[in-house]
Amino acid sequence: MLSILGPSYRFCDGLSRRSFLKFGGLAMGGLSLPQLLQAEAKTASATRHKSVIMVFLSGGPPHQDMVDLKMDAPAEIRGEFRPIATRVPGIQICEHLPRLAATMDKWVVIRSLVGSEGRHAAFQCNTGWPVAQQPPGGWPSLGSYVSKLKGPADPGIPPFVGLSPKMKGGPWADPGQAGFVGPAHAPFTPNANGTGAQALGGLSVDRLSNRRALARQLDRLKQAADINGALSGADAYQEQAFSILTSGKLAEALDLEREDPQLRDRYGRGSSEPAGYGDAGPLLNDYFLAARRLVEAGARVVSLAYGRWDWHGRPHGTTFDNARDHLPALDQGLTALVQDLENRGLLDDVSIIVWGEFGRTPRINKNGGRDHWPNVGCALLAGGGMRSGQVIGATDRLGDHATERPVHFQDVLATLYHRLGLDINHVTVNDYAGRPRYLVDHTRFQPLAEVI
Amino acid sequence: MYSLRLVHTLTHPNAVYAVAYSPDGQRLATASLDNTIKLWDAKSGQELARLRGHGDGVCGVAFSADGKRLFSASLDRTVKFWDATSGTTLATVGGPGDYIECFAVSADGKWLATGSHDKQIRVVSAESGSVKVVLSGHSDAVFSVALSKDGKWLASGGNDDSLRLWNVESGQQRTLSGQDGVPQSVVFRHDDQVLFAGGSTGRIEAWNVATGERFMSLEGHRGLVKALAMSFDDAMLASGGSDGTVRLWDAKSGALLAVSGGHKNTVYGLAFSPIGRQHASASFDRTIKVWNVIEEAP
Repeated sequence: MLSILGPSYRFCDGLSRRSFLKFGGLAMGGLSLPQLLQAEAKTASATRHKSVIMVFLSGGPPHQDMVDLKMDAPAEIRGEFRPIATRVPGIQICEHLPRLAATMDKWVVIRSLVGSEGRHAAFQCNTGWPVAQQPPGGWPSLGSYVSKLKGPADPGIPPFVGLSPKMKGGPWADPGQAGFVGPAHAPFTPNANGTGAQALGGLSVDRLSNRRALARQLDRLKQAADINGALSGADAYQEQAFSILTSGKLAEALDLEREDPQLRDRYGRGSSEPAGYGDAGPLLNDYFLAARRLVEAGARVVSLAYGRWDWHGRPHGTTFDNARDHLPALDQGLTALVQDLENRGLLDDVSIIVWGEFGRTPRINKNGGRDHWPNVGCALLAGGGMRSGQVIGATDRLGDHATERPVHFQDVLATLYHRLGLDINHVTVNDYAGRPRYLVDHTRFQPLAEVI
Repeated sequence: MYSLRLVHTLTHPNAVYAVAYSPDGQRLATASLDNTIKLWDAKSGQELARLRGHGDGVCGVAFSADGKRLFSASLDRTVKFWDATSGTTLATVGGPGDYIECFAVSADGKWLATGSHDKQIRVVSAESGSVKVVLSGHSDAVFSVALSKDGKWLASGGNDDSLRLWNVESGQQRTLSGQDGVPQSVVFRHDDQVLFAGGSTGRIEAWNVATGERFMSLEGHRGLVKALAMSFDDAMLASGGSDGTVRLWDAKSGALLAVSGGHKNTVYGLAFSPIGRQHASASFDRTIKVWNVIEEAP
């Protein structure tokens, strides 16, 4: 989105005021210039902002092989894994999540996630709504709502950042759509062009830091604008936007080479190659570290997709082969993130949600895998000042359906909005038809009382 | 007594399904779910080349008898022939059907066999790539396949719980009984008189090929026995399983000689070096481990 080089040529063909604003807006994750200037004024505030890190486990993680093991079920349902005790008496999780178990006091395990549309997509995790039912303009994702309602916490950092790369499985790569709050509130996506975490829409970190190069680009922009007369009155905005864009803070946040190598190792680094079939995101633990750096620097919402969890079995490995591959990496990355946030005094201000689009079938199929199971799934919450060290909800003996405290996707999002300081019972935003829309369906879904 | 001493740990960025030694023992080829094949110097462990071209994971790999070519089978439903020096693709065979699940090459280097999720087994000429025969009979995916030394006999294990011996020429088959659930892996002894099959709950069974009699059972693995390999002198059998262990057995007596727990995930591929006492194991944990077999003093 920070394609400074591209738009300069487009603008030469005819620059409009809207184009310039789009340029500035796109570069900062969709902020309009007035918002950028307002953000500058707000930076004097000493109040620590609240953030959310959303970890999307692309493909539908197997709840019964992770946090809701069914040892009383028959072998064809139970699976290969054994439960282990955790730090919290009475809570047991999979043997391949030992670090999570050791820090269970910091986590909330939701075993009864319900309401899945059953579609392979991040959309419902991002918005709470199914893809199929959308108002004019489309449902905004959590990050876009927050961008709209809260604006940036720091003028040098977009309020909403999506770290996921491009993927063959397109709907999994969805970092969060702006919907009817408008494209100005779309996420800033540094990795979406496939050039890596440190390349920003084709502009490398080095070049972003090169103010002279940026100044030349903006000068060409201004010349074109002067010719077209499209930017009358924009000079002041231009100068201030330039300063914001070149503050270097965003580039620094994304530059993991600046981080202590030992800490980076603690997170686990990971592989940048797509996991599994190759149509999803990578098992890249660097994403967790980047998310921490971004929220610390001022991002309000960071989304990322992690791994490929759609394990239907052979010939792409059984669900247990894939779980033995993914779970240790997830275990290491998540616990490092939580510990790191706590060490920096940030954990109470940063809510973490880890989930996928649905659970997986109780019965293991003939190829050693589990198939899609929208009936019930699981989620993990941490941070945000939430009451942790507990399990919410339960499923039946087979992991088939929720038997206690069903938790809808929108209950979880309501909780996250609450932690961000947004009252889901009162806050509305108009859709494209002018109809005021609540952030979630507040008549049916509310923040989880067990955690707030 | 024997022990397994780890010599190298080689890596792919995704699960590794198969490993093969070149006929002179100087190189290793490894096949991965990352859609590529890697070539390695077996002595130094240095990566020599990465062969790209398959559109999905690579589930089988083998050198030609003269070591000049490489064969690979992939989940993209094709078998590729490669120049083992330049890494260029020489030919691509296959296409229709379903995922290829298993792959084998005859010891004389003349025949390749694939077992597929379309329940069929295809025997292909290693020289021309032409399909010699398609063997049908399994009622579910073919999970394991092995060829006799001269390619005249074929053993297959299916997800239909059956272990079958085929006469490749006539297509006739007979079912062997007594295996441990779905046969996950099969291998002929080099004299073709004995067939070993790795099962689903940890057992390895041995059959007399001529009579069909099951005469030996090796126990120790926990879970699937996904990989089997015979040493070139037929003295040792190596096995790998979903328990992540590699086990070495006396192929004649069935005695357990050594165990290594070096892998963190299912061992899917095994191969003995033609020289010395060395073998390599390939695992879903994204690594290939090269082991020297050390005979310990009594």
